[in-house]
Amino acid sequence: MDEYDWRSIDVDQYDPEKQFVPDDLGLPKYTLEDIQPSIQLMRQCTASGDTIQGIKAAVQSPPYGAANEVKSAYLQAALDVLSTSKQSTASSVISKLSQDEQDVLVKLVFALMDTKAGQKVGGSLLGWLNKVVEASGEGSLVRYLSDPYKL
Amino acid sequence: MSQPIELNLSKVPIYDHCFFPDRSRVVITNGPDAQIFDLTDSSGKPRLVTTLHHHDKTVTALDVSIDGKIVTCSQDRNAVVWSPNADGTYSRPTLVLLRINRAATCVKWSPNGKKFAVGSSARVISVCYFEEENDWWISKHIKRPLKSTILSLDWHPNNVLLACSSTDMHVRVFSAYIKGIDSKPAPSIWGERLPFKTLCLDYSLGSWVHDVKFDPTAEFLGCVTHDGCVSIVYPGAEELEVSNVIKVKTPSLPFDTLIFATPSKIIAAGYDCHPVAIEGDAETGWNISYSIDDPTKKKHNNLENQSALDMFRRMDLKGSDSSASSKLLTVHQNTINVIRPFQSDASGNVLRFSTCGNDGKVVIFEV
Repeated sequence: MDEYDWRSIDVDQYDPEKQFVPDDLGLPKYTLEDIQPSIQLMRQCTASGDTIQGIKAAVQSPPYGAANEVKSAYLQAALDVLSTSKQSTASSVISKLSQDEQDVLVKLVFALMDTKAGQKVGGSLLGWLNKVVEASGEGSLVRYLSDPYKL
Repeated sequence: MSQPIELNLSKVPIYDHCFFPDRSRVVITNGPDAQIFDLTDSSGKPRLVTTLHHHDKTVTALDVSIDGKIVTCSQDRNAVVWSPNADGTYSRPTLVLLRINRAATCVKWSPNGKKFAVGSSARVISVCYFEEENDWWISKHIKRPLKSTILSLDWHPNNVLLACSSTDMHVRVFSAYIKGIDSKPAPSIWGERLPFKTLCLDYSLGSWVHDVKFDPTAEFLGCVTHDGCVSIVYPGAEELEVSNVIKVKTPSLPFDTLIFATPSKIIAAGYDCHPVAIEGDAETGWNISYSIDDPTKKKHNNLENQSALDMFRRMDLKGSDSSASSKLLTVHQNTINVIRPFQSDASGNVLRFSTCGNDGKVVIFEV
């Protein structure tokens, strides 16, 4: 007989009353115009080498749940900020971020790892992740895993 | 601070434990059974008194009422009440019809021991009470608006209000008022008229809520969630209003369980295998104040396994010849599942508390 994982059977799939409907997160529909100001700010900071302000701009109000082209435009700008900064300054940059800002930074890093462009500079992204975990413990990782607001 | 008292009681995870009010005996879950251990034996070791065998699947939770009745609930979808005989032994199980089609996950006696509530994966809370006429425990269901598995329950001291936490990210407070069993509760911040099923509070914390407790003054709730946070929820004056939520982000892995040691001190524990104290109040906010059994303050003791036999065993099992011990530096060697108060002073502040974990240990710590 075939090995069949009976645990993976969704026994409730035909029962409309037993479907889990997640809470509505109440997110706005982000458009490219909405995120233009923060992208502008991030680009300026990348050009001037101001990593702290760049990251602060990136973690201010990310377009959670936005359409793919909006997301990728935002992530590209954030990637430029992270990948152009020096790894040696990462610790001091992270120490200037608040706990909430660090948690959003973790979300950005994970979202970037999912993109082609991000994978090319994977080492630098992992470096950032490492520094955040050093600063605020594994709590920032479990918060990422269980957070419904994702990019 | 004295050393924690460590009791190795089981080879399998202990999902719940409860001491009797006189602290001489403890009941633990042990696979499909519950076991009572006597801690006052002359040998100084815990002595197995009784094995309560009735369930045929893992027992997930148990509780002892103020008058010594034990309730166990299991993945076999049943709950069983064990009433004490005249000599204090247990032999009579009474099956409780929960009317659920999924595992029961948690159970709690009301403070007066007249009824209990069972949470389950069937997204139902069964509030059970004894019906004299039929000599039978029967249950009433709370269904709406629960959307997922109930992970924990806690009773308000007035025996009517019931807090529940769930994997649908919400923490809720219901009225579990049963006509003929309860007297009308005094109006409180949670509401004035409280017929059965009244929803008194509903708040989404954004991730699985592992445990919820009323604070000792019963004015607000403490919750632990799967994102490694401890949240304190203050109800507002209006119906279903939440006036304030304080979320303490911690650097550790998620907590599984919490108790209030005092109205301004929470003890929480979970996947990090050691308890943590969080202190504060509504005005100043809440913060982590210290760790109990802190692993960062201890050193590995490499001398414990220096024998040649151990070295070959390590090479065989782990392919490593380093002498560093793989034991955790904490007393618990695995996740802590439940914290319960063990001993309190005259004003109700908890002095010592007990924990049980997946490593089969029950440990008594000082606050």
